[in-house]
Amino acid sequence: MADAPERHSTAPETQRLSRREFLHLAQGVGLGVASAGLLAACAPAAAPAPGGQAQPAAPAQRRMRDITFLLDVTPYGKHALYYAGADHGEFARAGFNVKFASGQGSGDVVRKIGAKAADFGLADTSAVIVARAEGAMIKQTFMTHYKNLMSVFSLKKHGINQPKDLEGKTIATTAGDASLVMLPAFARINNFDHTKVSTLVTDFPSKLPAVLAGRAHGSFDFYTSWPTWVRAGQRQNEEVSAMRYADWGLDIYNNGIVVHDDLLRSEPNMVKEFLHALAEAIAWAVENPDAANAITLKYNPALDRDTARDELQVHIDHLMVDEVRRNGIGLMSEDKMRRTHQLVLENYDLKRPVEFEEFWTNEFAPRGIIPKV
Amino acid sequence: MSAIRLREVVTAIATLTVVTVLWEVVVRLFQIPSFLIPAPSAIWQEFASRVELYANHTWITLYETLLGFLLAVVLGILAAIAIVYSRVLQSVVYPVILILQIVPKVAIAPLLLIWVGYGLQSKAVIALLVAFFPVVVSTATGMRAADPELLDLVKVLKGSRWQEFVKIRFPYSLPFIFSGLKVAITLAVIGAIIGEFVGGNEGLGYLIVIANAELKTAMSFSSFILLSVMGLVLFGLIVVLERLMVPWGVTEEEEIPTAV
Repeated sequence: MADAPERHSTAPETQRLSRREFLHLAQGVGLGVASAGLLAACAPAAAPAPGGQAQPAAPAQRRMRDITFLLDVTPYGKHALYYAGADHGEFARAGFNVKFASGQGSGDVVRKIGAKAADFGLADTSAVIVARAEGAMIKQTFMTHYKNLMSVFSLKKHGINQPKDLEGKTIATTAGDASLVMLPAFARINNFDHTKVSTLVTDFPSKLPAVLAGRAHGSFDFYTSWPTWVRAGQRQNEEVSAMRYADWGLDIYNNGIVVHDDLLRSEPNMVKEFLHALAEAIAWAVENPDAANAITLKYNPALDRDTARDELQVHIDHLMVDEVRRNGIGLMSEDKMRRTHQLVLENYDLKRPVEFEEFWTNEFAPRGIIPKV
Repeated sequence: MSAIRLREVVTAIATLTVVTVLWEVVVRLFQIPSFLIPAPSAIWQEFASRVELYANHTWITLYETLLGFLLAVVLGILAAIAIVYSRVLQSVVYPVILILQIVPKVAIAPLLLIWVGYGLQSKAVIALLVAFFPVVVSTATGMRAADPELLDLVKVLKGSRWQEFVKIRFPYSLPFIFSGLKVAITLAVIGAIIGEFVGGNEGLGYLIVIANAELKTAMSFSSFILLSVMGLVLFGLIVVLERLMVPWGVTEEEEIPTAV
């Protein structure tokens, strides 16, 4: 009798690992764990943060308050005014252990302060107003960029010497750049047609190469970038020229120290003490720019010493205006703030009209800290 | 549609609906400010108020993606044929392709835009660079996977190299090519967006950059929802095409690649 064909069950077989399969599995798991351990042990030491930790000079028994300070962009020469307090001791004497971090522009900084991801941040006043309209409860509490730094840099051969020359040109910009947003206001003040200016939107480091490669005639930039442009132009044998908005009738406040409303409410004295220490540090840096520049280089060794020193000088020149010589570093004048507020309301597409009193205050800035220069 | 597919689709739609409703409720309940996360209703409102703007920019990104993808397919298949049929070309071409793949496109995108220009073409080039590798690798693998007995049969019957390619190697490689195409199309979308992030005045990536700078989260969410839908539709088109062209060898569900 022929064997009946084997009936193969269609139900899934219950799996019982054979010993060989088990050993293979164990081998694999063991190898995986060993590799992971080896990788973890060999991991390169974390690179120091762009700012680095401050060295407290205060006696050990004082309890230090940890502060996160968010710079507006990747650090460069102008930030000496903010680094100074960390190494020169103003922050430590006031009881602060300051950790620096970099934002990716004012828009990013106001978002982070609004989300309470950092205690203090450096951001443009217009960004503060936009952020408040979008629901971020923050305030400008201390001014450092007093004179408007907005400018248009270009190759001299394109002949952009006065505002009207912008018509018919292509200007490189980053998305949402403040200089670009204020262009209509700049045009109105100087009687030219801003719609006749084309823009090339790109990322921040590409603006200068784009102009040098002939993709744009010029670029919107803060005047603190001028030293880099001059040197780049020299290397390419190109003459470069700058046109500052402030020289042509548009002078508003730029960057200052931004703080969340809740922090102002819960720890007003801490904020006042920090801003006082900051003002003292800035005053020292203005009086000793070479030493301050050295501190920046200590935290950011990749920067070029001379370019950084020139960039610091630009910031100092835009800080030491008449009202600072009269009243001290940090305080803001109502007139100028009104003008700034008005221009932002007119030129930005705000979600709601932000009130004049809600986005800034002089209450926390120190009085009368004036550098002797 | 089979009962199983229908159930899958209904489950997916139901899940999406539940997630959306939950999201709306959480944002309203905790009064989360719009600059952190927008409510779905706000996203819809933003989209509905400027449909034409989004349609225009979606079309731009789609054009860049398709142009880059088609170039990647043509050049990729040609490169694969060269690699499989010539040892010399393989040792010359393969390392170059590998290097192109390893260099992160995010790093060279700014340079590319300066060389090629800030318009659509440079974005298509980045899409091409990103989508090229999967097409080459999958096509070459497929062509080498032909049954060796059938290849011997062609030799025995004195068939030419061309006949071997058309009748045996190419049909055998189609399932592999399609799995490569599925990877490539999604990468092409990512490539186009990388280009738009770096520079230019058009496209969904450009809208996202502008929206981020002005804290307009509803706008950036609208843009990347549109982007996701576009990617899904393109992927789906490849799946449909595969069913039509390769009815005998439809592969299992592929994973969507996420790294560039």
